[in-house]
Amino acid sequence: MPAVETQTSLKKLVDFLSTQPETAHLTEEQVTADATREELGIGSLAVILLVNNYIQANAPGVMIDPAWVPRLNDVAGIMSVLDEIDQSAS
Amino acid sequence: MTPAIGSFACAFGDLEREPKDIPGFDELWRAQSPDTDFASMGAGTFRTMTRPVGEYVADCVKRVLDDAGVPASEVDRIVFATSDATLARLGRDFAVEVMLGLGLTSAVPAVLSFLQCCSSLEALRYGRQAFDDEDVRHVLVVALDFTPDDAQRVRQFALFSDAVAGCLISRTAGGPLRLLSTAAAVDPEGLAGHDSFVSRQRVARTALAKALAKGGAGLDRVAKVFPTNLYEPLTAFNAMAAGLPRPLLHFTGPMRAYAHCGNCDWIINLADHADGQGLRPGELYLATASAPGFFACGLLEGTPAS
Repeated sequence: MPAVETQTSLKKLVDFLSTQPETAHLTEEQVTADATREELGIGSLAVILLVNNYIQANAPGVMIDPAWVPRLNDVAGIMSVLDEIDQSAS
Repeated sequence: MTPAIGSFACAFGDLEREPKDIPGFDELWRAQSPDTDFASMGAGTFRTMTRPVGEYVADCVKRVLDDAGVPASEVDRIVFATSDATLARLGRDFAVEVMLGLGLTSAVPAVLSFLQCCSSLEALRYGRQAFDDEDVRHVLVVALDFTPDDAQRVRQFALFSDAVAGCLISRTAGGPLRLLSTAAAVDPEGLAGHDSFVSRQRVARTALAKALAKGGAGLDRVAKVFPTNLYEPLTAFNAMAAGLPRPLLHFTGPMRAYAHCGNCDWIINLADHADGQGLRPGELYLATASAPGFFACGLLEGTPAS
């Protein structure tokens, strides 16, 4: 992913995390593209709720793609999933 | 002749309660499911049994047999199914007392367990297989689960309720469904208490692929899916992660009224759908069950009215 797009996706993720109760405490410095979900202390259920809430807020009706599931273990993967959700909605 | 499945019946605990009726509910929920908003659970009320479980089993079985028009004396097998914790609560004379009380004078009993909330789907497979014996006419499948200790009702992503749910598999009585296939699979990470969305997806897809292949059908032919009634966002996510589209799931109505009735859930959800929408000939239905360490499913097909 080009650097500019990565920055855009990261900003989008950081902004969304700040609106969620389980992740509101995370700072921009902590949420880097190479960070893992475990390093950030985001639990298995929390990331599921995160994706659900993102869909409800930005792309109601979009279905979870089974191919997304293995990508939810790190920030880069989560960013790519949010991008695909946005693309599915447009 | 392919045995038909039908006469689904449910006997719920007779006392309707709300989560706030459980002493210390908020603390219990927070301890079991931290950072999880209970309001999203999808459960409004749950049921408690105020009498011995055998009485609810008797009520359920009578309704199944009355609906099918089958005398108790003609039932050749009765297969009980229960989750592991409930199995430990059943008295040693449980089956005998039920059979004597109901006049099930020819029914050979068995119990299927150790698959937690997936046990009743394994019981369905076992009950269907009993027809390999040409003398078998009718098989009862009876799922039951109850939790006497209120504190134990509140578990991770689940609020446990009390219920018995059953159905009849019959060579001659007819019924709206036939069983095409079943499959069950184990998630070793779940057994060890370390399951993740990846391991849950893996075990679900393994079982689903097997059941669909054995049933000779694609997911595109499935009209409705009846899952286990767990925390609603999680149930929806896990289903979609396994490739099951969200609109196919039928569980939110029964979940709101009855919460999670252990291994009875898929029968309760199927019966609710049958009451509301009916079961149509040629349509395929998927019963699924999930529990820490397990996933099971059964592919059913609507049969022409007899």
